[in-house]
Amino acid sequence: MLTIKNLHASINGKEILKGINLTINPGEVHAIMGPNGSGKSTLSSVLAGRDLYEVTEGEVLFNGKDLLQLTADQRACEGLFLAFQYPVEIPGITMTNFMKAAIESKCKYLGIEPPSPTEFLKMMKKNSELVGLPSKLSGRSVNEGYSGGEKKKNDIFQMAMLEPKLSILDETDSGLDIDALRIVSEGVNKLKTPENSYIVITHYQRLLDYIVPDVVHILYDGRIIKTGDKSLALELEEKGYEWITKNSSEWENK
Amino acid sequence: MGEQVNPIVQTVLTDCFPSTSFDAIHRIEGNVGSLSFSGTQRVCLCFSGKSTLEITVEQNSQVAIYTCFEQYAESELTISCKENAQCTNYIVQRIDSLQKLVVKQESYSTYTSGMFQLAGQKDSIELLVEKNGNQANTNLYGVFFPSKQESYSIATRVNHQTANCETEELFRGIADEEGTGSFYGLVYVARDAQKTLAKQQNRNMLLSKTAHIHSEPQLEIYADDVVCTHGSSTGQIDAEALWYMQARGINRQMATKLLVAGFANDVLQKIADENLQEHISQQIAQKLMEQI
Repeated sequence: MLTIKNLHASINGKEILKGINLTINPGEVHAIMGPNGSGKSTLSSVLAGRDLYEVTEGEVLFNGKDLLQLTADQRACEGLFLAFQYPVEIPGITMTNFMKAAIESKCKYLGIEPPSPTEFLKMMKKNSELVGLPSKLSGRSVNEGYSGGEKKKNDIFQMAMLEPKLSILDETDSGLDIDALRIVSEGVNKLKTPENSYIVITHYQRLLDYIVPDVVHILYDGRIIKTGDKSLALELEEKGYEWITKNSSEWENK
Repeated sequence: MGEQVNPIVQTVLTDCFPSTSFDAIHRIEGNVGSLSFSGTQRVCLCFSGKSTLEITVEQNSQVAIYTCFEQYAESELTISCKENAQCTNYIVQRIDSLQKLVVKQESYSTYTSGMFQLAGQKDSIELLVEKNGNQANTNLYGVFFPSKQESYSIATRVNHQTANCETEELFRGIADEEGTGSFYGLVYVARDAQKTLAKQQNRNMLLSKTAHIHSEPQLEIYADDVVCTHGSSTGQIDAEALWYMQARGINRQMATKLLVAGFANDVLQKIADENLQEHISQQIAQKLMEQI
Protein backbone atom coordinates (compact mmCIF):
# COMPACT_ATOMS: atom_id res chain seq x y z
CA MET A 1 0.00 0.00 0.00
CA LEU A 2 2.50 2.60 1.21
CA THR A 3 6.27 2.46 1.26
CA ILE A 4 8.28 5.35 2.66
CA LYS A 5 12.03 5.23 2.15
CA ASN A 6 14.46 7.59 3.84
CA LEU A 7 12.07 10.56 3.74
CA HIS A 8 13.59 13.92 4.58
CA ALA A 9 11.51 17.11 4.63
CA SER A 10 12.04 20.67 5.77
CA ILE A 11 10.15 23.91 6.19
CA ASN A 12 11.87 27.28 5.69
CA GLY A 13 15.21 25.51 5.53
CA LYS A 14 14.70 23.73 8.86
CA GLU A 15 14.82 19.96 8.60
CA ILE A 16 11.89 18.30 10.40
CA LEU A 17 11.83 14.79 8.98
CA LYS A 18 15.27 13.22 9.07
CA GLY A 19 14.90 9.91 7.30
CA ILE A 20 11.58 8.14 7.81
CA ASN A 21 11.20 4.50 6.77
CA LEU A 22 7.77 2.90 6.95
CA THR A 23 5.84 0.17 5.14
CA ILE A 24 2.10 -0.23 5.45
CA ASN A 25 0.27 -3.23 4.00
CA PRO A 26 -3.41 -3.37 3.01
CA GLY A 27 -5.74 -3.70 5.99
CA GLU A 28 -3.18 -2.60 8.58
CA VAL A 29 -3.60 0.05 11.24
CA HIS A 30 -0.39 1.83 12.19
CA ALA A 31 -0.18 4.22 15.10
CA ILE A 32 2.46 6.91 15.15
CA MET A 33 3.12 8.36 18.59
CA GLY A 34 5.60 10.93 19.70
CA PRO A 35 6.13 14.00 21.84
CA ASN A 36 5.24 17.49 20.59
CA GLY A 37 7.59 18.73 17.90
CA SER A 38 8.73 15.26 16.87
CA GLY A 39 7.41 15.69 13.31
CA LYS A 40 4.08 13.82 13.51
CA SER A 41 1.98 16.51 11.85
CA THR A 42 4.74 17.29 9.35
CA LEU A 43 4.73 13.66 8.25
CA SER A 44 0.97 13.72 7.65
CA SER A 45 1.14 17.06 5.79
CA VAL A 46 4.02 15.88 3.60
CA LEU A 47 2.20 12.66 2.72
CA ALA A 48 -0.99 14.56 1.90
CA GLY A 49 0.97 17.00 -0.28
CA ARG A 50 0.98 20.35 1.48
CA ASP A 51 3.33 22.59 -0.50
CA LEU A 52 4.64 24.46 2.56
CA TYR A 53 7.07 21.58 3.07
CA GLU A 54 10.00 20.71 0.87
CA VAL A 55 10.95 17.09 0.44
CA THR A 56 14.74 17.07 0.26
CA GLU A 57 15.40 13.36 0.01
CA GLY A 58 13.67 10.01 -0.14
CA GLU A 59 10.85 8.22 -1.88
CA VAL A 60 7.19 7.44 -1.20
CA LEU A 61 5.32 4.80 -3.18
CA PHE A 62 1.54 4.62 -2.88
CA ASN A 63 0.09 1.55 -4.60
CA GLY A 64 3.09 1.53 -6.90
CA LYS A 65 2.84 5.23 -7.82
CA ASP A 66 5.41 7.89 -6.98
CA LEU A 67 3.34 9.85 -4.48
CA LEU A 68 5.69 12.82 -4.29
CA GLN A 69 5.15 13.59 -7.99
CA LEU A 70 1.41 14.09 -7.45
CA THR A 71 -0.36 17.28 -6.31
CA ALA A 72 -2.42 17.19 -3.12
CA ASP A 73 -5.72 16.88 -4.99
CA GLN A 74 -4.34 14.06 -7.18
CA ARG A 75 -3.21 12.19 -4.07
CA ALA A 76 -6.70 12.51 -2.60
CA CYS A 77 -8.21 11.21 -5.84
CA GLU A 78 -5.78 8.27 -5.75
CA GLY A 79 -7.31 7.31 -2.38
CA LEU A 80 -5.26 9.10 0.26
CA PHE A 81 -7.24 10.85 2.96
CA LEU A 82 -6.10 13.20 5.70
CA ALA A 83 -8.37 13.81 8.68
CA PHE A 84 -7.26 17.22 9.96
CA GLN A 85 -6.17 18.02 13.47
CA TYR A 86 -7.98 21.32 12.99
CA PRO A 87 -10.65 21.00 10.27
CA VAL A 88 -10.98 24.28 8.39
CA GLU A 89 -14.09 26.47 8.21
CA ILE A 90 -15.14 27.48 4.71
CA PRO A 91 -17.71 30.26 4.66
CA GLY A 92 -20.03 30.46 1.66
CA ILE A 93 -19.74 26.80 0.58
CA THR A 94 -22.35 24.38 1.85
CA MET A 95 -21.36 20.92 3.01
CA THR A 96 -23.46 19.43 0.19
CA ASN A 97 -21.74 21.47 -2.53
CA PHE A 98 -18.33 20.84 -1.02
CA MET A 99 -18.88 17.08 -0.94
CA LYS A 100 -20.35 17.10 -4.42
CA ALA A 101 -17.26 18.91 -5.77
CA ALA A 102 -14.98 16.41 -4.01
CA ILE A 103 -16.83 13.32 -5.28
CA GLU A 104 -17.08 14.71 -8.80
CA SER A 105 -13.36 15.55 -8.84
CA LYS A 106 -12.51 12.01 -7.78
CA CYS A 107 -14.81 10.41 -10.37
CA LYS A 108 -13.41 12.64 -13.10
CA TYR A 109 -9.85 11.76 -12.11
CA LEU A 110 -10.62 8.04 -12.11
CA GLY A 111 -12.64 8.30 -15.30
CA ILE A 112 -15.80 6.88 -13.75
CA GLU A 113 -19.40 8.04 -13.77
CA PRO A 114 -20.28 10.26 -10.76
CA PRO A 115 -23.25 9.16 -8.62
CA SER A 116 -26.68 10.44 -9.63
CA PRO A 117 -28.17 13.21 -7.42
CA THR A 118 -30.40 10.62 -5.74
CA GLU A 119 -27.52 8.23 -5.08
CA PHE A 120 -25.41 11.12 -3.82
CA LEU A 121 -28.06 12.23 -1.32
CA LYS A 122 -28.47 8.65 -0.13
CA MET A 123 -24.73 8.43 0.50
CA MET A 124 -24.84 11.74 2.37
CA LYS A 125 -27.66 10.51 4.60
CA LYS A 126 -26.18 7.08 5.27
CA ASN A 127 -22.75 8.43 6.17
CA SER A 128 -24.10 11.27 8.33
CA GLU A 129 -25.91 8.65 10.38
CA LEU A 130 -22.77 6.52 10.56
CA VAL A 131 -20.85 9.25 12.39
CA GLY A 132 -23.83 10.77 14.20
CA LEU A 133 -23.73 14.07 12.36
CA PRO A 134 -27.07 15.94 12.27
CA SER A 135 -28.20 15.99 8.62
CA LYS A 136 -29.27 19.62 8.95
CA LEU A 137 -25.58 20.56 8.88
CA SER A 138 -25.35 19.58 5.21
CA GLY A 139 -27.09 22.82 4.23
CA ARG A 140 -24.69 24.93 6.28
CA SER A 141 -21.27 26.21 5.30
CA VAL A 142 -18.43 23.72 5.77
CA ASN A 143 -17.49 23.52 9.48
CA GLU A 144 -18.87 27.00 10.14
CA GLY A 145 -20.49 27.16 13.55
CA TYR A 146 -19.78 23.46 14.17
CA SER A 147 -18.64 22.44 17.64
CA GLY A 148 -15.16 20.92 17.99
CA GLY A 149 -16.65 17.42 18.10
CA GLU A 150 -18.86 18.07 15.07
CA LYS A 151 -15.85 19.21 13.05
CA LYS A 152 -14.00 15.96 13.77
CA LYS A 153 -17.10 13.90 13.02
CA ASN A 154 -17.45 15.86 9.81
CA ASP A 155 -13.94 14.83 8.74
CA ILE A 156 -14.76 11.17 9.40
CA PHE A 157 -18.01 11.67 7.49
CA GLN A 158 -15.98 12.95 4.52
CA MET A 159 -13.72 9.94 4.84
CA ALA A 160 -16.77 7.67 4.64
CA MET A 161 -17.99 9.53 1.55
CA LEU A 162 -14.66 9.35 -0.28
CA GLU A 163 -13.85 5.69 0.59
CA PRO A 164 -10.07 6.15 0.69
CA LYS A 165 -7.51 3.35 0.53
CA LEU A 166 -5.26 4.96 3.12
CA SER A 167 -6.49 7.34 5.81
CA ILE A 168 -4.24 9.42 7.98
CA LEU A 169 -5.91 10.55 11.18
CA ASP A 170 -3.87 13.49 12.45
CA GLU A 171 -4.52 13.81 16.19
CA THR A 172 -8.20 13.23 15.61
CA ASP A 173 -8.58 12.73 19.36
CA SER A 174 -7.37 16.21 20.30
CA GLY A 175 -10.18 18.33 21.65
CA LEU A 176 -12.67 15.46 21.72
CA ASP A 177 -14.64 14.51 24.81
CA ILE A 178 -15.03 10.84 25.59
CA ASP A 179 -18.42 10.45 23.86
CA ALA A 180 -17.30 12.14 20.66
CA LEU A 181 -14.11 10.08 20.75
CA ARG A 182 -16.17 6.89 20.98
CA ILE A 183 -18.47 7.91 18.10
CA VAL A 184 -15.58 8.94 15.87
CA SER A 185 -13.71 5.68 16.64
CA GLU A 186 -16.79 3.56 16.01
CA GLY A 187 -17.18 5.31 12.65
CA VAL A 188 -13.57 4.51 11.77
CA ASN A 189 -13.97 0.88 12.85
CA LYS A 190 -17.14 0.45 10.79
CA LEU A 191 -15.29 1.73 7.73
CA LYS A 192 -12.43 -0.71 8.17
CA THR A 193 -12.10 -3.38 5.49
CA PRO A 194 -9.37 -5.96 4.76
CA GLU A 195 -8.19 -3.64 1.95
CA ASN A 196 -7.98 -0.17 3.48
CA SER A 197 -5.28 1.00 5.84
CA TYR A 198 -4.91 3.65 8.52
CA ILE A 199 -2.19 5.77 10.00
CA VAL A 200 -3.35 7.01 13.37
CA ILE A 201 -1.26 9.88 14.67
CA THR A 202 -1.73 10.59 18.32
CA HIS A 203 -0.03 11.98 21.35
CA TYR A 204 -2.00 9.83 23.78
CA GLN A 205 -2.69 6.14 24.13
CA ARG A 206 -6.40 6.82 24.83
CA LEU A 207 -7.52 6.74 21.16
CA LEU A 208 -5.80 3.37 20.68
CA ASP A 209 -8.21 1.76 23.17
CA TYR A 210 -10.87 2.35 20.52
CA ILE A 211 -8.93 2.06 17.27
CA VAL A 212 -6.63 -0.87 17.95
CA PRO A 213 -3.36 -0.68 16.01
CA ASP A 214 -1.45 -3.59 14.47
CA VAL A 215 1.82 -1.70 14.66
CA VAL A 216 2.95 1.17 16.87
CA HIS A 217 5.82 3.48 15.89
CA ILE A 218 7.48 6.06 18.05
CA LEU A 219 8.58 9.19 16.23
CA TYR A 220 11.22 11.34 17.84
CA ASP A 221 13.25 14.17 16.35
CA GLY A 222 12.19 13.37 12.79
CA ARG A 223 12.95 9.65 12.91
CA ILE A 224 11.08 6.50 13.86
CA ILE A 225 13.13 5.28 16.77
CA LYS A 226 11.08 2.32 17.93
CA THR A 227 8.46 0.02 16.43
CA GLY A 228 6.38 -2.58 18.25
CA ASP A 229 2.88 -3.95 18.72
CA LYS A 230 0.08 -2.29 20.66
CA SER A 231 1.77 -3.01 23.99
CA LEU A 232 4.38 -0.39 23.07
CA ALA A 233 1.70 2.29 23.31
CA LEU A 234 0.75 1.10 26.78
CA GLU A 235 4.36 1.03 27.87
CA LEU A 236 4.82 4.56 26.56
CA GLU A 237 1.71 5.74 28.40
CA GLU A 238 3.00 4.22 31.60
CA LYS A 239 6.60 5.43 31.40
CA GLY A 240 5.97 8.78 29.74
CA TYR A 241 7.78 10.50 26.89
CA GLU A 242 10.85 11.06 29.05
CA TRP A 243 11.50 7.35 28.64
CA ILE A 244 12.02 7.95 24.93
CA THR A 245 14.17 11.01 25.15
CA LYS A 246 16.49 9.20 27.55
CA ASN A 247 16.76 6.05 25.48
CA SER A 248 16.50 7.44 21.97
CA SER A 249 20.19 7.29 21.09
CA GLU A 250 20.47 3.77 22.43
CA TRP A 251 17.44 2.51 20.41
CA GLU A 252 18.58 4.20 17.26
CA ASN A 253 21.94 2.52 17.34
CA LYS A 254 20.35 -0.91 17.34
CA MET B 1 -38.83 55.08 -26.93
CA GLY B 2 -39.85 51.61 -25.96
CA GLU B 3 -42.41 50.70 -28.65
CA GLN B 4 -40.25 48.14 -30.33
CA VAL B 5 -37.07 46.53 -29.03
CA ASN B 6 -34.27 47.57 -31.31
CA PRO B 7 -31.63 44.94 -32.12
CA ILE B 8 -28.82 46.71 -30.26
CA VAL B 9 -30.92 46.92 -27.10
CA GLN B 10 -31.81 43.27 -27.52
CA THR B 11 -28.11 42.35 -27.55
CA VAL B 12 -27.52 44.30 -24.33
CA LEU B 13 -30.52 42.63 -22.68
CA THR B 14 -29.28 39.17 -23.65
CA ASP B 15 -25.95 40.06 -22.12
CA CYS B 16 -27.28 41.57 -18.89
CA PHE B 17 -30.67 40.01 -18.17
CA PRO B 18 -31.01 36.91 -20.37
CA SER B 19 -33.83 35.21 -18.48
CA THR B 20 -35.92 38.16 -17.37
CA SER B 21 -39.05 39.23 -19.20
CA PHE B 22 -40.13 42.85 -19.02
CA ASP B 23 -43.45 44.66 -19.11
CA ALA B 24 -41.71 47.57 -20.80
CA ILE B 25 -38.30 48.32 -22.27
CA HIS B 26 -37.19 51.94 -22.59
CA ARG B 27 -34.18 53.14 -24.53
CA ILE B 28 -32.93 56.32 -22.88
CA GLU B 29 -30.90 58.77 -24.92
CA GLY B 30 -30.48 62.49 -24.24
CA ASN B 31 -32.74 64.40 -21.91
CA VAL B 32 -35.82 62.27 -21.80
CA GLY B 33 -37.83 64.08 -19.16
CA SER B 34 -39.87 61.96 -16.84
CA LEU B 35 -41.59 58.61 -16.56
CA SER B 36 -44.05 57.39 -14.00
CA PHE B 37 -44.66 53.80 -12.93
CA SER B 38 -47.54 52.44 -10.90
CA GLY B 39 -49.08 49.10 -10.01
CA THR B 40 -46.84 46.05 -10.26
CA GLN B 41 -44.40 46.03 -13.10
CA ARG B 42 -40.93 45.16 -14.25
CA VAL B 43 -39.26 47.63 -16.58
CA CYS B 44 -35.92 47.86 -18.29
CA LEU B 45 -33.99 51.06 -18.93
CA CYS B 46 -31.20 50.90 -21.46
CA PHE B 47 -29.04 54.04 -21.39
CA SER B 48 -27.02 55.37 -24.26
CA GLY B 49 -24.65 58.37 -24.32
CA LYS B 50 -25.34 61.34 -22.08
CA SER B 51 -28.82 61.08 -20.74
CA THR B 52 -31.04 62.26 -17.93
CA LEU B 53 -34.29 60.85 -16.69
CA GLU B 54 -36.64 61.32 -13.77
CA ILE B 55 -38.77 58.46 -12.58
CA THR B 56 -41.67 58.47 -10.17
CA VAL B 57 -42.61 55.21 -8.51
CA GLU B 58 -46.18 55.88 -7.50
CA GLN B 59 -47.80 55.33 -4.11
CA ASN B 60 -48.36 51.67 -3.10
CA SER B 61 -46.78 50.36 -6.30
CA GLN B 62 -44.22 47.58 -6.70
CA VAL B 63 -41.81 48.35 -9.46
CA ALA B 64 -38.60 46.62 -10.47
CA ILE B 65 -36.28 48.75 -12.58
CA TYR B 66 -33.47 46.98 -14.45
CA THR B 67 -30.76 49.31 -15.68
CA CYS B 68 -28.19 48.53 -18.36
CA PHE B 69 -26.00 50.45 -20.79
CA GLU B 70 -25.84 50.28 -24.55
CA GLN B 71 -22.56 52.05 -25.24
CA TYR B 72 -20.46 54.52 -23.30
CA ALA B 73 -23.14 56.11 -21.18
CA GLU B 74 -23.20 58.89 -18.64
CA SER B 75 -26.61 58.76 -17.14
CA GLU B 76 -28.32 60.77 -14.48
CA LEU B 77 -31.33 59.08 -13.05
CA THR B 78 -33.61 60.35 -10.32
CA ILE B 79 -36.04 57.95 -8.71
CA SER B 80 -38.77 59.29 -6.45
CA CYS B 81 -40.36 56.60 -4.31
CA LYS B 82 -43.78 57.77 -3.18
CA GLU B 83 -45.44 56.65 0.04
CA ASN B 84 -45.39 52.87 0.54
CA ALA B 85 -43.78 52.29 -2.86
CA GLN B 86 -41.56 49.24 -3.18
CA CYS B 87 -38.81 49.85 -5.70
CA THR B 88 -36.19 47.31 -6.69
CA ASN B 89 -33.40 48.57 -8.88
CA TYR B 90 -30.81 46.30 -10.51
CA ILE B 91 -27.86 47.95 -12.20
CA VAL B 92 -25.64 45.81 -14.41
CA GLN B 93 -22.60 47.50 -15.92
CA ARG B 94 -20.91 45.54 -18.67
CA ILE B 95 -19.48 48.36 -20.74
CA ASP B 96 -17.85 51.61 -19.66
CA SER B 97 -20.48 53.69 -17.98
CA LEU B 98 -21.14 56.19 -15.27
CA GLN B 99 -24.45 56.04 -13.51
CA LYS B 100 -25.41 58.92 -11.26
CA LEU B 101 -28.41 58.10 -9.23
CA VAL B 102 -30.50 60.12 -6.82
CA VAL B 103 -33.20 58.31 -4.86
CA LYS B 104 -35.81 60.23 -2.89
CA GLN B 105 -37.84 58.18 -0.46
CA GLU B 106 -41.13 59.08 1.17
CA SER B 107 -42.62 57.39 4.24
CA TYR B 108 -42.92 53.60 4.30
CA SER B 109 -41.19 53.23 0.97
CA THR B 110 -38.48 50.63 0.33
CA TYR B 111 -35.69 51.05 -2.17
CA THR B 112 -33.56 47.96 -2.82
CA SER B 113 -30.64 48.08 -5.18
CA GLY B 114 -28.37 45.40 -6.64
CA MET B 115 -25.29 46.78 -8.38
CA PHE B 116 -23.01 44.60 -10.45
CA GLN B 117 -19.80 45.67 -12.13
CA LEU B 118 -18.35 42.69 -13.94
CA ALA B 119 -17.14 43.93 -17.33
CA GLY B 120 -16.05 47.15 -19.03
CA GLN B 121 -12.88 49.20 -18.59
CA LYS B 122 -14.27 51.81 -16.27
CA ASP B 123 -17.57 51.47 -14.44
CA SER B 124 -18.84 53.91 -11.84
CA ILE B 125 -21.94 54.25 -9.80
CA GLU B 126 -22.65 57.30 -7.65
CA LEU B 127 -25.71 56.91 -5.54
CA LEU B 128 -27.37 59.38 -3.22
CA VAL B 129 -30.37 58.33 -1.14
CA GLU B 130 -32.47 60.97 0.60
CA LYS B 131 -34.97 59.76 3.14
CA ASN B 132 -37.70 62.32 3.55
CA GLY B 133 -40.25 60.31 5.48
CA ASN B 134 -40.63 57.93 8.41
CA GLN B 135 -39.82 54.26 8.08
CA ALA B 136 -38.26 54.57 4.69
CA ASN B 137 -36.00 51.56 4.23
CA THR B 138 -33.02 51.15 1.97
CA ASN B 139 -31.08 48.04 0.99
CA LEU B 140 -27.96 48.41 -1.09
CA TYR B 141 -26.21 45.31 -2.37
CA GLY B 142 -23.36 45.06 -4.80
CA VAL B 143 -20.53 43.01 -6.25
CA PHE B 144 -17.64 44.48 -8.23
CA PHE B 145 -14.97 42.39 -9.90
CA PRO B 146 -12.25 44.28 -11.78
CA SER B 147 -9.43 42.40 -13.46
CA LYS B 148 -6.75 43.16 -16.09
CA GLN B 149 -6.59 46.99 -16.08
CA GLU B 150 -10.24 47.49 -15.25
CA SER B 151 -11.28 50.10 -12.74
CA TYR B 152 -14.62 49.99 -10.98
CA SER B 153 -16.07 52.20 -8.29
CA ILE B 154 -19.19 52.46 -6.21
CA ALA B 155 -19.87 55.50 -4.06
CA THR B 156 -22.98 55.70 -1.95
CA ARG B 157 -24.35 58.26 0.43
CA VAL B 158 -27.50 57.61 2.42
CA ASN B 159 -29.00 60.57 4.24
CA HIS B 160 -31.20 59.79 7.19
CA GLN B 161 -33.16 62.99 7.82
CA THR B 162 -36.16 61.40 9.52
CA ALA B 163 -36.77 58.95 12.36
CA ASN B 164 -37.28 55.17 12.31
CA CYS B 165 -35.57 54.44 9.02
CA GLU B 166 -33.41 51.43 8.23
CA THR B 167 -30.48 50.98 5.87
CA GLU B 168 -28.59 47.82 5.03
CA GLU B 169 -25.50 47.91 2.84
CA LEU B 170 -23.62 44.82 1.77
CA PHE B 171 -20.83 45.01 -0.80
CA ARG B 172 -18.30 42.46 -1.97
CA GLY B 173 -15.25 43.33 -4.05
CA ILE B 174 -13.07 40.84 -5.89
CA ALA B 175 -9.98 42.07 -7.74
CA ASP B 176 -7.59 40.14 -9.94
CA GLU B 177 -4.51 40.93 -12.05
CA GLU B 178 -4.15 44.74 -12.15
CA GLY B 179 -7.78 45.48 -11.44
CA THR B 180 -8.73 48.37 -9.17
CA GLY B 181 -11.92 48.56 -7.21
CA SER B 182 -13.20 51.16 -4.85
CA PHE B 183 -16.04 51.37 -2.41
CA TYR B 184 -17.03 54.53 -0.67
CA GLY B 185 -20.05 54.51 1.57
CA LEU B 186 -21.37 57.18 3.87
CA VAL B 187 -24.37 56.89 6.12
CA TYR B 188 -25.36 60.30 7.41
CA VAL B 189 -27.73 60.44 10.37
CA ALA B 190 -29.20 63.88 11.09
CA ARG B 191 -30.12 65.04 14.58
CA ASP B 192 -33.80 64.30 14.12
CA ALA B 193 -33.23 60.85 12.66
CA GLN B 194 -33.70 59.00 15.96
CA LYS B 195 -34.13 55.21 16.04
CA THR B 196 -32.13 54.85 12.87
CA LEU B 197 -30.90 51.33 12.19
CA ALA B 198 -27.99 51.25 9.75
CA LYS B 199 -25.66 48.42 8.86
CA GLN B 200 -22.83 48.82 6.40
CA GLN B 201 -20.42 46.10 5.39
CA ASN B 202 -17.79 45.87 2.67
CA ARG B 203 -15.59 42.80 2.32
CA ASN B 204 -12.98 42.40 -0.37
CA MET B 205 -10.82 39.66 -1.77
CA LEU B 206 -7.61 40.23 -3.69
CA LEU B 207 -6.63 37.43 -6.06
CA SER B 208 -3.31 38.87 -7.18
CA LYS B 209 -0.49 40.95 -5.72
CA THR B 210 -1.07 43.73 -8.23
CA ALA B 211 -4.81 44.14 -7.60
CA HIS B 212 -6.05 47.06 -5.50
CA ILE B 213 -9.20 47.77 -3.58
CA HIS B 214 -9.92 50.97 -1.71
CA SER B 215 -12.59 50.76 0.92
CA GLU B 216 -14.00 53.67 2.86
CA PRO B 217 -17.09 52.94 4.89
CA GLN B 218 -18.17 55.93 6.94
CA LEU B 219 -20.74 56.92 9.48
CA GLU B 220 -21.63 60.49 10.37
CA ILE B 221 -24.07 60.54 13.24
CA TYR B 222 -25.74 63.50 14.95
CA ALA B 223 -28.62 61.67 16.64
CA ASP B 224 -28.14 59.93 19.99
CA ASP B 225 -30.59 57.03 19.88
CA VAL B 226 -29.44 54.98 16.91
CA VAL B 227 -27.88 51.60 16.09
CA CYS B 228 -25.28 51.95 13.37
CA THR B 229 -22.52 49.55 12.45
CA HIS B 230 -19.94 49.48 9.75
CA GLY B 231 -17.16 47.15 8.80
CA SER B 232 -14.61 46.59 6.11
CA SER B 233 -12.06 43.89 5.45
CA THR B 234 -9.74 43.15 2.59
CA GLY B 235 -7.77 39.95 2.33
CA GLN B 236 -6.50 37.21 0.10
CA ILE B 237 -8.04 33.88 -0.62
CA ASP B 238 -7.86 31.75 2.51
CA ALA B 239 -4.83 29.46 2.09
CA GLU B 240 -6.08 27.07 4.79
CA ALA B 241 -9.45 26.67 3.07
CA LEU B 242 -7.70 26.10 -0.25
CA TRP B 243 -5.50 23.42 1.33
CA TYR B 244 -8.48 21.72 2.98
CA MET B 245 -10.28 21.52 -0.35
CA GLN B 246 -7.22 20.26 -2.21
CA ALA B 247 -6.79 17.57 0.43
CA ARG B 248 -10.31 16.44 -0.49
CA GLY B 249 -9.42 16.04 -4.16
CA ILE B 250 -10.62 19.40 -5.46
CA ASN B 251 -7.96 21.00 -7.65
CA ARG B 252 -6.66 24.49 -7.01
CA GLN B 253 -8.53 26.08 -9.89
CA MET B 254 -11.88 24.57 -8.91
CA ALA B 255 -11.29 25.30 -5.22
CA THR B 256 -10.55 28.97 -5.99
CA LYS B 257 -13.69 29.17 -8.10
CA LEU B 258 -15.82 27.72 -5.32
CA LEU B 259 -14.30 29.99 -2.67
CA VAL B 260 -14.85 33.15 -4.71
CA ALA B 261 -18.38 32.07 -5.62
CA GLY B 262 -19.08 31.44 -1.94
CA PHE B 263 -17.70 34.87 -1.10
CA ALA B 264 -19.95 36.63 -3.62
CA ASN B 265 -22.87 34.43 -2.68
CA ASP B 266 -23.33 36.22 0.65
CA VAL B 267 -24.58 39.21 -1.33
CA LEU B 268 -26.16 37.40 -4.29
CA GLN B 269 -28.56 35.50 -2.07
CA LYS B 270 -30.13 38.83 -1.16
CA ILE B 271 -31.22 39.29 -4.77
CA ALA B 272 -34.89 38.46 -5.15
CA ASP B 273 -34.72 37.77 -8.90
CA GLU B 274 -33.32 34.23 -8.90
CA ASN B 275 -32.64 34.24 -12.63
CA LEU B 276 -30.49 37.31 -12.27
CA GLN B 277 -28.80 35.85 -9.20
CA GLU B 278 -27.88 32.74 -11.20
CA HIS B 279 -26.73 34.78 -14.20
CA ILE B 280 -24.44 37.03 -12.13
CA SER B 281 -23.01 34.04 -10.32
CA GLN B 282 -22.26 32.36 -13.67
CA GLN B 283 -20.60 35.51 -14.98
CA ILE B 284 -18.34 35.68 -11.93
CA ALA B 285 -17.39 32.03 -12.43
CA GLN B 286 -16.75 32.65 -16.13
CA LYS B 287 -14.57 35.67 -15.45
CA LEU B 288 -12.57 33.63 -12.94
CA MET B 289 -12.00 30.86 -15.47
CA GLU B 290 -10.64 33.41 -17.93
CA GLN B 291 -8.12 34.63 -15.34
CA ILE B 292 -6.79 31.35 -14.03
